[in-house]
Amino acid sequence: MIPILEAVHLHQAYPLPRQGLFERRRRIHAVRDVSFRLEEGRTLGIVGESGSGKSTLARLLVALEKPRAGEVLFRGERISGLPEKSIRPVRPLIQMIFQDPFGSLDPRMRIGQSIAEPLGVAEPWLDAGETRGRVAAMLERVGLQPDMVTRYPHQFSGGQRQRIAIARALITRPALLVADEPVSALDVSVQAQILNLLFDLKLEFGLSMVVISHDLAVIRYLCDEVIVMEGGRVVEQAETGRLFAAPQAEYTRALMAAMPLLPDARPGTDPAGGGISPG
Amino acid sequence: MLTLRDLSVSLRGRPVLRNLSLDLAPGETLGLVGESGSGKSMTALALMGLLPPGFVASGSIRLDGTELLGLADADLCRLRGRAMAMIFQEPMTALNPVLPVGAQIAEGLVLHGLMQPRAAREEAVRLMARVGLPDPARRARSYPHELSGGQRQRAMIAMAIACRPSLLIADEPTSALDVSLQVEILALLREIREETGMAMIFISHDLSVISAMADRALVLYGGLAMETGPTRHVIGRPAHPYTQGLIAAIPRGTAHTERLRPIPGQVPDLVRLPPGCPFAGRCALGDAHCAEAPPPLRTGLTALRCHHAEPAPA
Repeated sequence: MIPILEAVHLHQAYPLPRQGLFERRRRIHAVRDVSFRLEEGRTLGIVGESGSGKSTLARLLVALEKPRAGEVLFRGERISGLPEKSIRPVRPLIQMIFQDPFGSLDPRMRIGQSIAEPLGVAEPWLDAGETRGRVAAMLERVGLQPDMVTRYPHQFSGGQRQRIAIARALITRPALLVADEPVSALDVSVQAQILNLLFDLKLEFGLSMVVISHDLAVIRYLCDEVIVMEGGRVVEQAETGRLFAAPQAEYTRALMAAMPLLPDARPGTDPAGGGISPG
Repeated sequence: MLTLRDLSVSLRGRPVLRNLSLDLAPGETLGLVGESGSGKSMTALALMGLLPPGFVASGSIRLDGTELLGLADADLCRLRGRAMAMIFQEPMTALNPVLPVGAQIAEGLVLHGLMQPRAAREEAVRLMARVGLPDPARRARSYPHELSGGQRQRAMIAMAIACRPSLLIADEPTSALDVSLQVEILALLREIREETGMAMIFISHDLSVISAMADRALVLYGGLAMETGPTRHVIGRPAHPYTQGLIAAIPRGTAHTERLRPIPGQVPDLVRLPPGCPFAGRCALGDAHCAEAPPPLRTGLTALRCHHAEPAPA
């Protein structure tokens, strides 16, 4: 089967400021020789600390940046290094959500308009009524009231804004969703709602996902397989279960040793002694 | 050493922190846990006498026998940095960008009349070595922007402990750092606590960090202490529905086998709290009475405020 997403020897580098007039311009290598295949319907996690290149990799995968070398294939077709016009037909199929939904929503646009915007590009033949119907259904699906369409982003809490960003990303029925630190800015109690929502939507829409996070617990929760990055390189790549049971790379082991854990919260035990009452 | 009795903070008559009481002994660490808007940073600022304009504190804060509430600004200034010090999540906003870090660390020692400028400069270098900054003599002349995030956090710790305060308040000191750095900074804070015997109030939204640092934990929600007790009981055998919900919401398995049980709804806005229990609208046990009447205090293995839940017997 053709993988939904494939990275082939991806490289990305940015020039550093010139040190002297005749010095050679040096480069910082943000992504070095990254390759992987993601099969349809699976979720890939990318972990690493700040500066490891995970966000650069994400931007390469959704063709927001052109790689210096290597290519990105979406369902077998190259999408990297192409002019915007050639990528446009695939764009609705590849969507992205970010850590800070406030930054990705236009503050002067009613959220109904924000959510409908990508639909206008992907399915320009829809009339106003059909568009309204799609937006209302999507809002309801992410757990918001359809009558909230006339409100502005600042009228929502952080968790609600992330729901709006998810609605906007999924309105075009994409095949691939790239989520860059989707819950890092959220409170614990709200984070769990968004994680469950992402997982449900993944099953319901048959989404393939790439999840970037510095939080190993979030990665283990959502992902089928994981790439561990350090200094722009992939230091380990494995099925999630195997990675957490027997990390191979030195760096992965160090990350896991540093991972904060609740004393009674290891898998299999229930620290809450039955937890909150059912319902 | 530190005693809080019915500490309340309000903004234009609306309570944002209600009747907080606690005791802290030398060498002891209290973990303040809470989500955004729970009032944890407000508590820290009230202790330091640094509440933003418009916020009014009432009740009692006694530190080493001195009542801090109502103290004149000049007297508070003498205590700040000397008897109590604070470190913040983002050192870049707490450090002076135009002063070398060595001078900033020495400043407090001179200001509080503990040392002459020359001796203070030497002490600053010694402190910088103590917090693990490489090449401290040279680093002392560096400006904050020349340090990495982890190094800045170390410099701020050096500044905070320079005058050997009896109370250190740490407000999310590792939340902006990568996990490997977080582990190092937590270890440093534990070592310094052992060496100096200072008491610590450690504020975090992260229960696992609290469990690594604090003897006792206090869970705040909507400006009210929901549950408090020894950290291992609060985390291991929580009895308050909010504490239980918070712990159940932390991902620890995979979504395919272990679904999270999130707390429904949103964290309430501090200025729109119900007169009763702030958790009433989101709680599985909540009823009409909960939103109206402040929940009673019940004590057992932990102490909690709830109309319905009972703590495990002590």
